[in-house]
Amino acid sequence: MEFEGLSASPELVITGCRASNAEEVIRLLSGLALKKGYVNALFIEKILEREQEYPTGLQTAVPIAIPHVHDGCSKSFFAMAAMAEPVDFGAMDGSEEPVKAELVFLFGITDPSRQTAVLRRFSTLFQKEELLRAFTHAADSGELLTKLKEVLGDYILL
Amino acid sequence: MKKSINIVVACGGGIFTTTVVTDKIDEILRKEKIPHKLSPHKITEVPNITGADLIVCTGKTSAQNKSGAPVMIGLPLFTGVGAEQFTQLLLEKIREIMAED
Repeated sequence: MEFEGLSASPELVITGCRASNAEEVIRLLSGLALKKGYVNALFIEKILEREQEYPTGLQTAVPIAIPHVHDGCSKSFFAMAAMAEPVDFGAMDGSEEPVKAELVFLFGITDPSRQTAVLRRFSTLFQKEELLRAFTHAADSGELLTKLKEVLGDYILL
Repeated sequence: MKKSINIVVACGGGIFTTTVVTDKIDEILRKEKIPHKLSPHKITEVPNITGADLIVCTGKTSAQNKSGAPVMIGLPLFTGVGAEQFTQLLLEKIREIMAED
C-alpha cells in the first residue's frame, strides 16, 4: 500500500515536559512544528479550537491525548511530549472526568486518505501498555524516538 | 432484506479516529462477508446526513440523525478497550438493520 510517513525529529519530542494545562502542551508542541515550517499560525488556532469542541484525551492503559488537525499543515508530522506530571485533557468519549494524560501525541496531517496505514499503525501503539510506559520513562528525546522507530519503521521519517 | 449496508463513520475532525475506525469496520464486515459502503464524515454533519443506515461516531455526541439513522459510539475500535464487545453489538445492529425491508 502506498503511504506517506510522518516526519519526526528530536526537536519535536519533549521528555520531562511540564505544563499546567492542555492548551499549554498543545501550544508548546505546535510551536516546535511552526519553527520547523511544517505548519502556519492557522494550525495552532484550529487545533486548539478542535480540542475545546472535541477533546482528544483517551483513557488507555497509560492515559494519553492525541490532538490533531489538518488545517494549516503543509507537511505531515508527529510531535510528542512525555509529561513530568500528568496534565488534564477532556475525554474523547465524553466522560465528565478528565483524562490525566501522561503522553501527548500531536499530529499534523495533510491528506488522511494517504495516511490511513500510518494512523492505523499509530493507533495500535496506544494499546501497548509496556511500550507506553517505556515512553514515559525515556531519558531523552533521542531514546524516545529510537523506541518509536523500532515499532513504527518507515511510518515515521527521521 | 437489504443487500448492502451504508455506514457513516464520524469524528470531531474527520481525520484520525475516523480513518482508523473506518478501516477496522471494513475489515470486520469483509470477514463476515457483509456487503457495505463506508463513508467518513465530521460529527457536526451527523444531524443532516441522508441515506445512511447506521452512523458510528468515535467521540462524544448527543447528535441525532434527522433522517433517523441510529448512532453508535465506536471509540472502542480505536482504543481497543472493549473492542470485542463493541464488534458484537455492531454486528447485531447491522444484522437487525439488514433484516428490515
